[in-house]
Amino acid sequence: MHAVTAPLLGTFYRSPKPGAPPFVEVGSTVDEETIVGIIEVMKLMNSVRAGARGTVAGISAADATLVEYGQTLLLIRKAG
Amino acid sequence: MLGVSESDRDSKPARLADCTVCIGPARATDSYLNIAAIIHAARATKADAIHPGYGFLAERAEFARQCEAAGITFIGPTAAQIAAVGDKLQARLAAQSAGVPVVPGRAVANVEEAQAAANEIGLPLLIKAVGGGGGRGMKRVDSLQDLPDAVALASAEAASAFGDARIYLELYIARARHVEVQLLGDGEGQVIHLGERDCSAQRRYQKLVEEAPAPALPAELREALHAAAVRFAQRLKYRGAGTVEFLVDLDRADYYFLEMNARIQVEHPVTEAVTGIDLVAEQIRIAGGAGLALAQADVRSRGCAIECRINAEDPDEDFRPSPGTVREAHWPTGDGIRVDTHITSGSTVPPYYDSLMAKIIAHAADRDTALAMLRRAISATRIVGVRSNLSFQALMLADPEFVAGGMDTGFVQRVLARRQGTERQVRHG
Repeated sequence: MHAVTAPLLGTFYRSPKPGAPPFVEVGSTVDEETIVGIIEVMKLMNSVRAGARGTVAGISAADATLVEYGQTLLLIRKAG
Repeated sequence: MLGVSESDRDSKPARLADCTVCIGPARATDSYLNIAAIIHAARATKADAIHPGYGFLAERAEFARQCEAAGITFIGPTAAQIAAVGDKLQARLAAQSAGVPVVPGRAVANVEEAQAAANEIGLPLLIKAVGGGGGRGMKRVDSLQDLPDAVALASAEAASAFGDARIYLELYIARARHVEVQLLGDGEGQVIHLGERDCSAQRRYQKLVEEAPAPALPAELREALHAAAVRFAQRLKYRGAGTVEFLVDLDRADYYFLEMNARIQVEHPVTEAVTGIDLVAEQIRIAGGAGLALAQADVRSRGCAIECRINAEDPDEDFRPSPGTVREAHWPTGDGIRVDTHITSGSTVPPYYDSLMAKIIAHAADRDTALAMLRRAISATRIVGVRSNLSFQALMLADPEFVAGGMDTGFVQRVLARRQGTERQVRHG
């Protein structure tokens, strides 16, 4: 299992913009470069990438909530 | 709520706090100096105010400004006041305007001006960075021929360390005491002082031992320092806690404004001990808009308090920092003893920040008693796992110059020289 952790503190968003569908859901297939969320700090957006190949096994950070540096955002069940 | 870096997540303050927010990785630039992350965390958690402590962003005008813009109370002075005293040249001008003497000196823009200034001021002199402070970035020049190179080097170092290449020159005072005055201002023009501290025991401009009151100071000089500090801060309508630092020139029996620190200082416990006033509580009170809790007449000083800074450094290796894990930490306890520390058995001293582990303070009715208590407290302290300056503190406190009190800022160098002399004797004995 690969844990996707917050590379910086900020507000975590699961969609590219309000009202749009989330980047991923549980079961989505991802690879290392897939964007799984955005962390916004003082109006600057930072893309969060999966960092592993596989499927999303769990999402532990809620949309539009504050996440700390290092906090687990998603779990990815690695492929192969 | 405590904002912590990743390496401070399990620290004692983190465990004591009601809750913590991890603002970034260990490196200070990405955490404790990360204005965006801190302001974002404060807004997201609906914090009313931020206390910046000392160091890091405590005197960064930009941080205070961003707090103000975000509607978060910055517990400290206004951004404008931080900027006014942070620029050491502006601070000198403010001192002169307040009728407070400054060390003979001036700003110089190039080598020619430096040479002219040196002829005016005299030698030896100190080259200081306008954007510096806290004892950093100073160079002593003893002869005119060394001046051009020293000016070029000082300017380059200042640009790199402080982002401001500007320098100024000041007469080097050969025998001086560092005496500073603690202030509280309500931001509306009311300023009171809480007495002075002597911080002459310094190594490379970093304080090692501090005491309140300053020993062996003539009454008129003591009062003049208090009045000058209050005058300086009143003119700025200073808000919060701050300290005005002076050099007391022992040879000329004069005093000069050095700088103002617009923050709570490391050594504030000695003032708290002798006045019975909680300075951090006063900071919060003033920030909340309640004004000063006391009038000048209410401030009394009782007895004497002395503080030692215990650093994780190796006194046998030129005080090289000694990070690592503190396997055992036993701190002294007892009436009149206060220990401010985040270090307990098992704590780590990370390599990312400064080496201060603890402050040990002794307060008693007179200086001799406070000194004896502090020496006993130092000898009862045990730190295993990292090197510390405990033995050097013990050496300083036992030194006849310290026992007599009122020594100048050359004291620590003399203790080091005496120690080297003793070691040489022992080796060749």
